[in-house]
Amino acid sequence: MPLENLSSIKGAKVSEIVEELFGKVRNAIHKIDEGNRILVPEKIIDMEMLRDDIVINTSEDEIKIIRQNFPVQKEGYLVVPRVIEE
Amino acid sequence: MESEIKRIHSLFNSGKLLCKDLIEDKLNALEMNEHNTANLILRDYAMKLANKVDDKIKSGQEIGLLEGIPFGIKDVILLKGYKTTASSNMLKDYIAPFTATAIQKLLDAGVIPIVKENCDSFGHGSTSENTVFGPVKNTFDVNKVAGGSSGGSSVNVAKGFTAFSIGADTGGSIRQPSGYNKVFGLKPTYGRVSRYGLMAYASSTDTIGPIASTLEDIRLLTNLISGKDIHDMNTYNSVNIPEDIFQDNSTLKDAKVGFYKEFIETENLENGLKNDFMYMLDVLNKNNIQTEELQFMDTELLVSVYYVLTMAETASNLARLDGITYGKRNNSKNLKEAYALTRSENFTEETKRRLIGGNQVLSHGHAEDIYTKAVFLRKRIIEIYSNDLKKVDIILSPVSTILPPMIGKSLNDPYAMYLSDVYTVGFSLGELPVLNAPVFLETGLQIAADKDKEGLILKFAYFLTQISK
Repeated sequence: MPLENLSSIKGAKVSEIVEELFGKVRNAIHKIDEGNRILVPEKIIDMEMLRDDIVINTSEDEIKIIRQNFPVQKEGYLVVPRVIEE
Repeated sequence: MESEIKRIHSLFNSGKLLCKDLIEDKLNALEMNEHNTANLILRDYAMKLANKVDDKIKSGQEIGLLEGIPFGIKDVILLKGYKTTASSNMLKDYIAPFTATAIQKLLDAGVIPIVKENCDSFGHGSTSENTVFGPVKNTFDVNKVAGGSSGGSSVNVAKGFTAFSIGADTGGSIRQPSGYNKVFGLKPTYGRVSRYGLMAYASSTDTIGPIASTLEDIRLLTNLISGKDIHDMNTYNSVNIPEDIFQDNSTLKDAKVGFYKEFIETENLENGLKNDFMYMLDVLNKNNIQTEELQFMDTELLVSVYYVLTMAETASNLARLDGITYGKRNNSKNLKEAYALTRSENFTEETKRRLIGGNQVLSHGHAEDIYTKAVFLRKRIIEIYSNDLKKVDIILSPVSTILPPMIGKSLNDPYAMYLSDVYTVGFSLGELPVLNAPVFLETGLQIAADKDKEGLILKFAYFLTQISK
């Protein structure tokens, strides 16, 4: 998929500067891959560390601010531009 | 032990200073400042809180150590009811619906927020020039950059506009501007301070930390803002750094200090900084501190790994800013066009470069070739630190290869700006605590240790301030 669509930024194209950084990683792998090490998650979170699975209601003033932040709203709902199927 | 917080507290208690007078002075100084540090000055809110502190003192009630102390908040951290813009057009009118955990802890202690501080947009930068509020100017030369991305926060502390500031550090954003403005800045261990209420840049290295003019203030503030938070699953219960940490240096007798050979031998490091670093090693040896050369990986590869991972993360985190649910919308005839217009016109060039790079690196073909390899290399970096910190207790490093550049120079050479992050990004990928202290080098010295060893870092920093005199 073109970068313009992936990033939703008009005229998006590969940056030479960023490509140079990426190239260093792309070409580096042979130096470190020799051990065939398996990717193991760095952090293991114990079930007891998870927060309770309960609903926490948002306060009225927080809801008010969230609505205030809507880019475009009508009667308390977000307005979305028309979607055209392609 | 010198402390700006304790100094102000003592003035309040002795009746020599009214809180409202102090806050008014700071607000006026911020308003008139030529360094471009303030995105929003919280005058009414701050004055209301200051009057309450004065009333409390007048009525004979005891006030807490931090009550009435004025501080600044980097403008990527949320304070409920006030704008948090991330120094961007996209969020120029965004009002924070809740307060960040770290800030709430400070508010609970009675500290008074007086300013939302200018910074690089979404933390994307090392100079605080990537901001729609205009570049932040260095404390000591207004023609030079303040460093970034917490540039406004560092300058505010250095100029005394705030007693301290709360910044955020993803790959050096507290440490490098602290160095450029000669104040102390701590990036805590990843997870020590909750990220809840910090606008996410790269979630796997984002941290919140204090910037202050004294080590004792860094200690007090780190203790206050740390701790487990149910809103951030990576947080943990840390142990407080004790008050007497600076009193006894005898435990440092056996401390071993390491430094990375590649970091010092590189041609990119300015000669003056290199000489100062070597001189510092000499002084350590003369003080019977053992120093050891360590080996890292290729420095350009290190920077590249950091940027691959953080660009990928920021592309994911900022995908929500599409003008539909968040952000300033640029209307168009259909949804897809509205997304593209909104994001093209409301993100800065540097932010767009990182978002495009992040989407590129996560796309089919690139993800396997680059992103997965960068994840793998990050594990290698963590292993290097883990092994080295079995050999030494402290790792020292410059914070930047260069002195603060002139404003405008880095915008024309972003690759050089990325490379100048070489000394800071590794510790971020390693999730280690690091303090930048204004000692020995013109831009200060990074002091790193193993996870959760902020106490040792502060102790060593104090020792360095003593032997650098």
